[in-house]
Amino acid sequence: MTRPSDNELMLQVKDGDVGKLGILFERYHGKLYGFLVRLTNRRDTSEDLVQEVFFRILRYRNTFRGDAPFIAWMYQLGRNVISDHFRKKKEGAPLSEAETESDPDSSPAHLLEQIEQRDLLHLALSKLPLDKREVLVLSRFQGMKYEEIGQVLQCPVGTVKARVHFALKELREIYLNLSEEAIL
Amino acid sequence: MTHVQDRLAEYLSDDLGRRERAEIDAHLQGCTLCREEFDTLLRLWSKLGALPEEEPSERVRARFHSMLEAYQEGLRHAPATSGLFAVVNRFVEKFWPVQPAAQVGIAGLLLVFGVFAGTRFPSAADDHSEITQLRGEIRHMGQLLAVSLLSQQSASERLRGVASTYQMDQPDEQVVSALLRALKFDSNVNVRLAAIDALGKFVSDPAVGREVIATLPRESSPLVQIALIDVLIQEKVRQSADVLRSMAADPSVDNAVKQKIASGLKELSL
Repeated sequence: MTRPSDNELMLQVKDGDVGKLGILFERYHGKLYGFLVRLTNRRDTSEDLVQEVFFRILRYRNTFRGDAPFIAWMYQLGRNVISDHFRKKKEGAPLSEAETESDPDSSPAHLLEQIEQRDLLHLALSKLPLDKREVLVLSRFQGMKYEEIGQVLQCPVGTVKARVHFALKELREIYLNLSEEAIL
Repeated sequence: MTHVQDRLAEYLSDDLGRRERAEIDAHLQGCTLCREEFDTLLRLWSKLGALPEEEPSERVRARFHSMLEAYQEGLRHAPATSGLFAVVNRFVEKFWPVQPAAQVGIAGLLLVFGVFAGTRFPSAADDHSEITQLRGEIRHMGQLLAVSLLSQQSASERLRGVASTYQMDQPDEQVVSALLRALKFDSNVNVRLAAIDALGKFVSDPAVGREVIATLPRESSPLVQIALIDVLIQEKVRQSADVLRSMAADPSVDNAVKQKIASGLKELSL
């Protein structure tokens, strides 16, 4: 049996078979969470926002037209939820405590250096303006093609190219500055 | 070949065709400037890729499923429109234009007819008061239409009635009370949800806020309760806190609603 496409499932949800949203949730909630957490820098908030996005999918299911991929629509709702969230409260602290999965082959000094670098990169990412961070997250962490990003941001591919280019350059500047400050 | 610094992000994102990649590869072989730029960006790109993936906790799945169940439960409780009234309404619906342009057209025709009739058959009252009255009538025409649609048997008509209030800057008391009636008594979940959206901008008015808050514990659908809480929190209606707290302690209240209350109370206290 062939696997139903995202759009087929969402159209069924739209027609009243709302249980089918469970399949879409299983397919994408992890990805969506990854997107939200890279933009909010907060895990508990991002879990709340995942719930909010899926609630809005249900509530506004009648507005899904199926002419663009479901995932683009989902990320659009995600962006709206994030902008509502930021409007309500000022939030932007970096991820608390960098992830510190142990690597038994590494020496403690090497491990410490890795953690520091991750922390710095997290910090650099959090200092990148939201619109630039967004394209970088979609491209690097969500593995989306520029055309797909264009569908989410509702802008031409050329604009996406330019935004990723400038975002990466700005991130490099921020990261280098932070690295220099860390050394001093 | 011109420098390729501007295309390195595309190269790293793997968003180029084979031929374009080969061109850039060839250029990087011979251009130190672009090569250096490429090396620093590549290092950063790799570091980004090495950041550990963020995984949500199991709590997210549990919350989603309780929300979905609550939603399905809400839909099950919404009775389907049937019977003679529905048949009559569907029949009438065929003749009612769906396009707002056509509705405005009909209103316009009625207005022209009214003005014509007014000039053709002038009444004893003076002109000025007639014009004032006519203006008043026009202003209220849309509001009356909304109120009359809201009292229709067909849920789709009532939804249309709610939707027609979205654009009103200052709906009169009659419209607001028709929306409140829809929120309290409408048997259709979708109409109640739409009424919440329409009432959103008025809940900061203490009288409307009080009525909306009073609806909350009586509401049968957890979905509508969640939407109500959403609006109350969004509009920072602080007097809702007591009702929310007592609902949080009520064992009969749905868990998804309780979770919403918990996050809402946190926001209200900020």
